[in-house]
Amino acid sequence: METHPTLTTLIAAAERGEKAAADALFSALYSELRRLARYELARHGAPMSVSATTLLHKAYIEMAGNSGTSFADRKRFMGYAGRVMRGLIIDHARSRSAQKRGGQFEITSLGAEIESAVDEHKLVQISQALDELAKADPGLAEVVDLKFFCGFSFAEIAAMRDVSERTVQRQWEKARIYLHRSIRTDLEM
Amino acid sequence: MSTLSPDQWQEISPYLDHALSLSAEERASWLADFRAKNCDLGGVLERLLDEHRELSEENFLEEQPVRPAGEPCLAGEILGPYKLLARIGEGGMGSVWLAERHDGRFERQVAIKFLHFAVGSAASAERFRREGRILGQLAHAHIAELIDAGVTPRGEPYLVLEHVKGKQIDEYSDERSLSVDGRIEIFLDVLGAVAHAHANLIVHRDIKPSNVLVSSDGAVKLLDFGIAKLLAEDAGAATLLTVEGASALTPQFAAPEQITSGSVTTATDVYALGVLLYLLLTGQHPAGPGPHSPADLIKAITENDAPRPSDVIASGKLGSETTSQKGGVSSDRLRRQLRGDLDTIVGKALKKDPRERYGSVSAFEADLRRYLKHEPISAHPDTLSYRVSKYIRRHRLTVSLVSVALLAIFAGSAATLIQARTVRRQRDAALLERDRADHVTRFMTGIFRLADPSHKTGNQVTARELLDQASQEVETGLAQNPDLQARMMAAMGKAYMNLGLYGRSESLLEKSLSIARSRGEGQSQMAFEAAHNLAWDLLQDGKLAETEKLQRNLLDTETRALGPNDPITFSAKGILAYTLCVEGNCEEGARLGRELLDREMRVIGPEAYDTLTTRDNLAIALTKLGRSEEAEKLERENLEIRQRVLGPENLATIDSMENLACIERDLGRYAEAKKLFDEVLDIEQRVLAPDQPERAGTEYDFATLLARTGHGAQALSLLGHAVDHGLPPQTASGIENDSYFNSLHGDARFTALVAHARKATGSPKLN
Repeated sequence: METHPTLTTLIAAAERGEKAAADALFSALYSELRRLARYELARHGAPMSVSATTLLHKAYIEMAGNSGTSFADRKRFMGYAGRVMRGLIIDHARSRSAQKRGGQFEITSLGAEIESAVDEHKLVQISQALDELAKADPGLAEVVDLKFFCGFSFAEIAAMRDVSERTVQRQWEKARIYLHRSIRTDLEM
Repeated sequence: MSTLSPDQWQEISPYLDHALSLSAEERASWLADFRAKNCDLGGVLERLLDEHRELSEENFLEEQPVRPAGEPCLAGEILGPYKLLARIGEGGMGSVWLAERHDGRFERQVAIKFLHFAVGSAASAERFRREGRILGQLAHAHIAELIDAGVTPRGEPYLVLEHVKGKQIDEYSDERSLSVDGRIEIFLDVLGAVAHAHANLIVHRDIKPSNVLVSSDGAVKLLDFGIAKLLAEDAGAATLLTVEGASALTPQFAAPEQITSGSVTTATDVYALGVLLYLLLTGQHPAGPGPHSPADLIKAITENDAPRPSDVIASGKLGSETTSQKGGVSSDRLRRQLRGDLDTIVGKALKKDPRERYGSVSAFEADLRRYLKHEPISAHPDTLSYRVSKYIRRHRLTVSLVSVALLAIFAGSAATLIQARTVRRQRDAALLERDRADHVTRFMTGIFRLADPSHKTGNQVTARELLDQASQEVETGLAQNPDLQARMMAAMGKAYMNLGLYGRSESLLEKSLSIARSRGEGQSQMAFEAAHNLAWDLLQDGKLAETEKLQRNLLDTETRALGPNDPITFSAKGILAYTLCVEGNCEEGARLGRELLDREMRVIGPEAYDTLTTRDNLAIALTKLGRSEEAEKLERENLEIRQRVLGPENLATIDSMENLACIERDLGRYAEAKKLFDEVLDIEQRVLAPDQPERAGTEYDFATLLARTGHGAQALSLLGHAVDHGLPPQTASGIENDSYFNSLHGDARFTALVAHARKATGSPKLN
């Protein structure tokens, strides 16, 4: 990845509500994660062989490792990166179903992992519901991104957000109720 | 059914939080109550909670949409001489694989740990391998062997480790229902392993239950020795927290200095071992039962003192899974077992300040062995005076006030430091004996805790304000309980004394004495204590004549009431002898001291704490009388006893050695003196922080010897260190007049140093 405005400045600007900075941050994270995922593909001559969690760690080390980014930024990084990871995974699910439908094959390199019970349609629904939830309660949505999409444990999320594990678990349970409701409503409509 | 509107969600959200934090039964009854009060909202809430139950049962969203395929490409892969067999674990650091040699050379299987970071350059890859090999040389029965370290062609660092099958030490102990002593026995093996590594200059840095495994036959193995450092260096990160990826973000076993980025030393391992022992004995973390947020943990580790293990048992916080029940002992009995020595030992290992912890793992080990053999341990319990002084330190009032005040009594003679040390020791002994009154301690520390900024944010309270407040309270609030009142006044008087505020301390101590006298016809234990306190205070205030008068009186009364061989009478005689000597009447001081020493040797034994102190004081008196030969014999005896009983690195042992060095110097046996000073300095450099006043004192005394023996340049250099290391102002300002330095007069460097010393120390402020 080319040099970009430092992660710290981007995160700070995004948190001040600067739309351009938020976009830049997302696209930087997106391309970095994609690059890393591709690298895994090239390395192992096989699909992504590490977890999303590891991928995020690596992305963080590569993007922030040399710029002296502080510990606090790591927490915030993971918050943003979790959202980006969701996007990547949904892209991937889309391409996979496109592939099944005989569409053009697109390397996202997140492919060929163990088939999951969660299909593209459902993922898109969850993602939309999450966007809704993010409006009502952004913290809860972030927990879902980190836990469900990125595979972080409650303990890890608790550490990032500086709350107890039990609090994270409760937030997760709450978010799940919310998501389930809106998804079911979708189905009923 | 419909999506909840944002408004609805906001309204119901806090109730949902509460309900989800309850257990199933609690939730049902709470919900019933809630519905009775708030029918509509209660109905919605009930539906949501039903849904929650269903979602939990069907594991809704529990399965990740994308999961790694178990790194399938790695199984069967060859890595150097090893073939990977199966993945056996995934941690924050990376994945762990079971492997075996494919060249048929060894039968045994190994564990290969891949680490979650990329090695950037060829140089750092090489360094990783080299460091790994150094760790590999650590051979000990209780340390899991590190067989090899390398970097895959893909740039992934890995470690080849002995594959250990076993249970975590805490789980093992609980499963086997090990008794307290059984737990300590097994813990001693852990200490042995760590001590061995320290002897090889390797610090573990990450001791925690999951790194201490016990096999089914009871053999202990420590895992991951030194690996945290390997990671820290390669990741180029500053602290443990940022290094090991998410799993290490919960710093359960980190020492304060690991959190504050202080230097990580063997003392860091001592702390982590303290946490481990605490966990083994009480079944919980020193920060209390979880769950903890990382911020809470960090606060607990860096600021709050852990409750004593026996109090944790006592407070009944432990459930059915406790050590006590599993150990087959009632919690009452366990509490009794933990109280006292074990509390003290664990407390010493868990000191926030690395310098206050055990100086070595071996010292920690030695105390536990003494405990098992029912011998006295080397660590001293925290006394009230200790807690008060710690409080004062935290609030940045000059700690050395006590020694400053003491030194103010004396001129800057060469013997100053010895005297100050002895007084301090004697005072500590006196306080130690008299501060046992638990309720006083609790009351006092309670008051201190109330005013502690961490409890009362934004309002810095000085120790002075605190004491002023408490001393008012004690006069008005405790009038109906004179015994407690007298004790409290005594305690506060001592606190003022420690602050050097003698006007206030004397008035409190006098009141305490008069209350005590009115209660017990002038002869109760309490009255004697009060009188002793007052005498100490007067002595420190420099009111020597008054001290002597009070003390003679006291000695007389006590000898009549308690007999000549009572420890209280001993103490009175000791203080009197000391006072006389300070007054310049060393003749009588030495005579009394000799008489006291003879009695103490017979009654409490030649190696008792008080006997040792008396011997020290007598040695000083004899030195002043020019009878250094006799003094030398006594001090040497003390040194021999302390080395044997307390160990070579104990502060009292070091003091003794230094006293002896000064005596040898006075006797003109310079070679012997130099040998002793060298040794003292060497030990102090190892066990004390640079700014600890003891070190400055040694450097000063050593400098006198060097100046006397014509090593002017070395003397100047050492004297410079002494000033920089916090030489007490009274001594610092007396450098010029110390006759030992006469040979340096006229040397420009000496003149500069004297000026520097004045500037560096300034004049002491006492309030």
